[in-house]
Amino acid sequence: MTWQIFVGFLAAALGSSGLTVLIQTLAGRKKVRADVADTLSDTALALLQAVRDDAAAQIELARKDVASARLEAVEARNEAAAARAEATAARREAMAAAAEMRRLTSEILSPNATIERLRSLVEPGPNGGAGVRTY
Amino acid sequence: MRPGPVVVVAGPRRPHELLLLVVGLLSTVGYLVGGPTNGSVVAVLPSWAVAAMYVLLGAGSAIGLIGCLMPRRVEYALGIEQGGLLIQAAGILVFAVTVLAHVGWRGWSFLIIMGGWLVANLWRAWQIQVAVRTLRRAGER
Repeated sequence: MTWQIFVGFLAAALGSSGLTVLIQTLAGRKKVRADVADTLSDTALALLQAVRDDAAAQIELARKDVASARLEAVEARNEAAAARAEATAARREAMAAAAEMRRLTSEILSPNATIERLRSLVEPGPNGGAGVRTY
Repeated sequence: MRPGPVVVVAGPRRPHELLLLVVGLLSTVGYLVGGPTNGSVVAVLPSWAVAAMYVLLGAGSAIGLIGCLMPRRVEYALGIEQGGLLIQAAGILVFAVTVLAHVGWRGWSFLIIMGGWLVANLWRAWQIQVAVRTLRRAGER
């Protein structure tokens, strides 16, 4: 007789444990949903942060590129100005040389040319030119 | 939080479990419709014991089937399945012991089947317990 009571208790225990599991599942489903939503939003936040960091790195690189490009542009402009100044100076010298050459040629080829006159032209003095140095 | 490995807790459908739940449900429906046939083991038993057994069996089978067949929400469905299995196990235990008490060892083949069913239910309930624990731990990480 006692073993039947024991089995009765066993069956009651099984049944009540099943009922407990059921009630816990039904009662806990909102919490499960909240946990899942929490986990999903954590994942979303982590992904968002990764995207943000990536974008910041790209912006930094672009900024550096722009700064170096600006420096290069400034240098190029300076070089162009220097080159232009040199070209202008060179032209001025060339024009002066050509004028001097024309003057000398016209004096040499003129019908009034004499040795003294030519010498006075070449030597530095009140009459003459800049003086041609003979090395 | 870094994404972890994939956790598989449910897997494909278990045919024996599913069909034993259906068998339990069909038995309950048959009892409600017609009552036990003459000459069967069940006809010998006192009607209150049979009624109690069928209540537990029917409830457990129905609830277990709902939990097995629920499409999404894995942890919820697993919990319901486990509850149904345990209640059905209680019904089986009551049935087996009642048969043992009234019929004795002549019903040994029936008792073997009932015993196997009971152990299967408890085993699956334990499996579900482990699976739910794994799911909870995976969700926390």
